[in-house]
Amino acid sequence: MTARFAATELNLSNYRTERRYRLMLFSMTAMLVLPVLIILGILVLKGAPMISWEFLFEFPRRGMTEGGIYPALLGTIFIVVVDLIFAMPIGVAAAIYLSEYAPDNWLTRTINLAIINLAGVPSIVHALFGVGAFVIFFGFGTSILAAALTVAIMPLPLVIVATRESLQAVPQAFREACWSMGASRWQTIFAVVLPNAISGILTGLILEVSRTAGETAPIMFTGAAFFLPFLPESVFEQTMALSLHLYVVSTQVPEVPEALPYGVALVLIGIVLIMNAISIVFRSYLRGKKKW
Amino acid sequence: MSENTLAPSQLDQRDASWYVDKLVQILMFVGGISAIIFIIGIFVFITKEGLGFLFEGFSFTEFFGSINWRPTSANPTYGALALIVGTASVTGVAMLVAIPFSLGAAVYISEFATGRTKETLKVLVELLAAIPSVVWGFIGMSIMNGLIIEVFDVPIGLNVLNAGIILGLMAAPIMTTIAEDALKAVPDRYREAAEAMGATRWQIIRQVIMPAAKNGLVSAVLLGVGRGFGETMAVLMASGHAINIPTSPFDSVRALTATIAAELGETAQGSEHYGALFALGILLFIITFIINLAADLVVRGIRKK
Amino acid sequence: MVASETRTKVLEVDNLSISYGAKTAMSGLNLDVYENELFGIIGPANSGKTSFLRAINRMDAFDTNMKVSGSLRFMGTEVSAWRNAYALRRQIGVVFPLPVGLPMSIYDNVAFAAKLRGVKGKAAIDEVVERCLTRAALWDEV
Repeated sequence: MTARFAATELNLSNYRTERRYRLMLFSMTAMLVLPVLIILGILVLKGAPMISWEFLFEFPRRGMTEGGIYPALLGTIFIVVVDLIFAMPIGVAAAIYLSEYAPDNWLTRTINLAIINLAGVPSIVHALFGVGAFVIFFGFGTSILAAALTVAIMPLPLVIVATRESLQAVPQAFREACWSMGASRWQTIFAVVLPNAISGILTGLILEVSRTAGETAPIMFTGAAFFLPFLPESVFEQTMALSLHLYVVSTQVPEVPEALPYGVALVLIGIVLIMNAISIVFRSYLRGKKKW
Repeated sequence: MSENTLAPSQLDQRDASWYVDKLVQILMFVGGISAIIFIIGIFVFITKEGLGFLFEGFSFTEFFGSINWRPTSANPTYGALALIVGTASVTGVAMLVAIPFSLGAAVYISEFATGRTKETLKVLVELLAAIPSVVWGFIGMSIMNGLIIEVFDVPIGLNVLNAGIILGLMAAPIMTTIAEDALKAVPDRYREAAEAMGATRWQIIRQVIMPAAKNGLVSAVLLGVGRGFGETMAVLMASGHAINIPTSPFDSVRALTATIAAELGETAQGSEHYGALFALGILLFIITFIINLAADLVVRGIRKK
Repeated sequence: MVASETRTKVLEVDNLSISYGAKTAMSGLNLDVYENELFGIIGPANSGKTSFLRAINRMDAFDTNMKVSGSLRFMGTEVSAWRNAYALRRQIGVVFPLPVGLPMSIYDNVAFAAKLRGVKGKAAIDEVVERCLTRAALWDEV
């Protein structure tokens, strides 16, 4: 009896092939993700010596070969805050429209196409747009405002998609129950749909922040400066920024000590990775707290 | 009924909440079309600034046929050919690196990995995607640079190979994610039917799942190419600064994106050089628009089934 | 047996037809429902019963596929002529075949419709919630 079910030579060779491919695919995956860890490791090793209280809270000195990154750090925060003020309402509104109002017609298809295309626009083209639109046409000049507006458009597709997915995850039955009772579309959205889509909105927000903090090209010509001796006092002034600072100290400053750019890179990547980690942890926490 | 015998004419009043609802509808609609407004706006404004150049200093044959990009010489020429080839070569190397690895990773993560391993790998891919491009550029300048010089024994490490590998690592996460989605979208019944016939996992993947996910995989590759064409800072910092057509992966090149980034700060607004850079921007916009359109059409092919 | 002329007609349906795209769910419906009357509709599956109920309180407005034609009058006025459809729906109570509890507390669930009708103030809402739950014999359970 057992002889009938014994593995044939073909079976065995198939399984050997599978094991080989499985191993190969695993190594390919590992080779893809290992760089993250290796890069982090090197940045930590070479950059950590630079990190100190003075590094984070002092101005750069001696042509940026010494001192700290305080104005760049603050500048990035300024840009991110102004950016959020504009990007979040637009992104969430767009997601609400697509999920709650949009009929299945050509306009909706065009909107979706526009979102995909917006996600694919090169960052330098965004920069050119920012110069043409915000710096020149709207007359904001090179300023925090122009830079923040330019950089706000870049992660918009991510915000819209993340928010829309969590809105669409709310079961339709809830909406129908509310509508039957005479609640308006907005009352339904406000009372039932939005509160249950918070996870998506927050994911979008964190993505927006982390992408904005890391972008260089869009702010290079619209409001970020290589070096400013003072902090900006209004959104109409220029500012330094962490991402631009990394570019500057690694390419434009002669005789910079080797550890300095590593330190800047470490701070930048640290901020970005921490934000992403928070978002990942938060998402799995929320997944366990589903109310239906 | 007896509690509430108001006539419809008294009940049918448009109250505050009705007006608020209408207002909100308008606001949401404005948000909804914002994406369209932005795309059109981007095209309008970059064309506006490039118009001056397009009507005066621009010559089609020179732009696309000449490798002489000399905007600051006494007799400025605006030949973008070397820049286009530079971008294409770096993207090409990037795809050579990224396509096999990201598709392989997508297959492994979606078909073989389970539980903790799967979650960890997905998180790592997500973190890979989060690294800012200027940091990648810095890595290209510092770590990759030294690595290439040592391993291949060449004098300069800032070249097509450097930028290509970095770009490949940058494009890989998005390709992996989209490819994963495409593989996940293949209906389970295909897998089950093949398993019932006694096929091994690898046989199922190679002969059933991947052909079925073909559209999504192609779309993933296209989006990766689009990312490669559009990347700015990393290429600026890692590909070197020589404007020429590369004959080997160890040659330095200049990409379209990097050229704009490197030279825009030095132009005067409205000058010919300024307009030429915007013209490069228009070219980039059109190329990435076509690639994204193609990717979307390919994916649409799946939805129709 | 009350003479029908002295009672008010709450619902008057005249030649009502409902279709979804090219498919007709039901057509040519004629009926009248009077005040304080218990009116039942029985029919095989897919005969349009649920569609009819949805048409009464204009839930078809939320479904772009659904087309309602003919006359449906609530309290004498065409439902399609109401300028504020939300007010119409607040006047008509609908119970779903499968219960849908909104993802909020029981109190908020019960209070939801009351707040829509303009009941304000915690004391007033408390009273409504207690009254409803008592009538449903649930007040002591909750």
